[in-house]
Amino acid sequence: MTAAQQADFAWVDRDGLCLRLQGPWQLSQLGPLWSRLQGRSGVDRVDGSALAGLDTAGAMAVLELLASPDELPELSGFREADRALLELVQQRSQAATPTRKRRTFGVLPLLARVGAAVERAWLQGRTLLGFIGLVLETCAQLFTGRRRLRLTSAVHHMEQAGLDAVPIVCLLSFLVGAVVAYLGATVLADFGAQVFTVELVNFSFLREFGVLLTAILVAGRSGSAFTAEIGAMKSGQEIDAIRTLGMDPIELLVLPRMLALLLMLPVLSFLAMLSGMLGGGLVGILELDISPGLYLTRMQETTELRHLWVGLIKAPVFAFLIAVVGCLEGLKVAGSAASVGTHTTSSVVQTIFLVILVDALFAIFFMKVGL
Amino acid sequence: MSELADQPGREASDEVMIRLRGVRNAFGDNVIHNQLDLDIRRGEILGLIGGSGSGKSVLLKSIIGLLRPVAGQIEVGGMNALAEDPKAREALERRWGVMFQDGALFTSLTVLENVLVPIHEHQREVPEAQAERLARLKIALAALPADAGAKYPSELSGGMRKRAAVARALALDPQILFFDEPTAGLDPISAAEFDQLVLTLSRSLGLTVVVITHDLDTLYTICDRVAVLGQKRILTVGPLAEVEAHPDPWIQQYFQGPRGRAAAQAQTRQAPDRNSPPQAH
Repeated sequence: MTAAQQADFAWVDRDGLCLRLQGPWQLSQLGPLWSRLQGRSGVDRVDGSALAGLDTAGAMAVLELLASPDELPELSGFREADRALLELVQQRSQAATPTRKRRTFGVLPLLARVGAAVERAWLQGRTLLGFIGLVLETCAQLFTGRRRLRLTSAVHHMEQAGLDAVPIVCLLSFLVGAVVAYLGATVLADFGAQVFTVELVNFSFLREFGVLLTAILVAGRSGSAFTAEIGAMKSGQEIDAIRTLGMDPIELLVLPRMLALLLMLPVLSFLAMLSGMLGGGLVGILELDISPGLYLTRMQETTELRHLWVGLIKAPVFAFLIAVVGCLEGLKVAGSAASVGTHTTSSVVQTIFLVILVDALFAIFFMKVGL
Repeated sequence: MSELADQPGREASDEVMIRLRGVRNAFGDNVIHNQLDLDIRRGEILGLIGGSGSGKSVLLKSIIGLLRPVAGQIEVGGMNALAEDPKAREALERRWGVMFQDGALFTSLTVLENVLVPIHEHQREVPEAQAERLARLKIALAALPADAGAKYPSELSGGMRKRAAVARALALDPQILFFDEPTAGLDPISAAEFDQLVLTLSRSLGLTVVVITHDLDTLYTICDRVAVLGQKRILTVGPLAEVEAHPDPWIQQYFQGPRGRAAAQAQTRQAPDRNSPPQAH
């Protein structure tokens, strides 16, 4: 047996086409051979006396060269084990080659997909409304005593979703406050109205940015966490276990999270407003030559308390949306780990969309009622 | 070394495929294995048993390089399995295939794509058509119906998922197959079929097989030798008949308990010759 390093072959013409295999016909050695074998066929005798090794890939490559793939050719010089392997591979590769999935193109499939997407959106909305109803009902049962409030769990989530989020919320608001101040001052300076930067920063943070930034951050931070936690429990059948133990997953998992957000989002929003105004104020005082005294007086004169309320009243609404969508998406998880990922993404996208949409509705409402 | 790579043997031989010497695994103060020695012969089916928490899976992980032992040597086919050189590691990793407990298939890919992953990754010269045909061959070797290739793991039953995992483990024509609890969670019929699959693959492809199992039927049906893990080392290793006779209380309880006796009886009824050592074949 020659100790050839590379798999190789030679044609021997002896009344018919005889293939003489050389070297190791193994997957890792076959590399350059594939292209040389391409398109060849018609072999009806194979000589394996110079073969140094054979595995299933090698056997398959040999079988592809045969004149008739359904029956083994005349084999000579093969070791018993290699011959057996050839026979095995030949048997098993007869299992039919199944058809590939075909993709459809054209106007009709396009319409069908659009329709399916619209239907999905409609069903999604309906499920969300149904879930909101269910949560509110369970909430009401808290007061009648049929359900218990899980305080430990609620406090735990307050810490995770509230307290732990304080640094990032404050830092981001501070930075955005500084940016708004710079931007405002640059534009207003053209009119000599730099001092209006004070109102710009304060109004925008009290009415909009404070609560909006916080809600978006919390949606990304805690809403996704809710979905992932509950989704992992769902795929591990923990939700089923909760049900069979006679407990209610809404009471046990959803209400504490919702309560935690309902309490913490207003607090976080308030902190965000303060940091934003501080960021804007610092820029105003240090960079834009508005004296601290002037800045504070201006702030006191122009900023009314109602702006604070207009901002803060939105916080519980956003909190409710984030908690409900986050938990619902978690409960929708089915089966695998990939599903948890999909629903987490969907949860974040939906909550941010809903938060901005509702914020816009609020803005129109407050404008119309003159607040 | 190189002659090992040449030709898989079709019968168990005395040649050592995997050699463990003085292996020590520990997590902090918690010592799992200490001074553990084990030889796994080429072409044999070795069953690895031991109580829950005795570190069977940890041992498997240290052999396949997912966990680095604190001390000791591991050789696979004459190569140092603890080598850090990435090239040497890649060559090693092609020598074995692993079937994890629940298959560990990639859920976002179909079965066929799962089997194609290692082929595409490591054998880029293989033309697409051949790679796909090769993958289908592996799926057939794992005794899955041809239409299973187009399905996603979530659409398969537990037994079929395990077969798909075997197909993926076979993708690069390994010389060694590791199974972590292959029959766990299968009904007795599927479990028996799976045992037969392991036996057939091992014999026809000349594979060395290491099976971690709790399934006494698997031990009696397919294993040439059995290694018992306990007291942080290998208590004993040998053909079943010898292991059964070992005086260790845990081993006695294991084989003399009601389940052990039932499995042994079932086996003697079916095939009285399987309990003899493989050399006798």
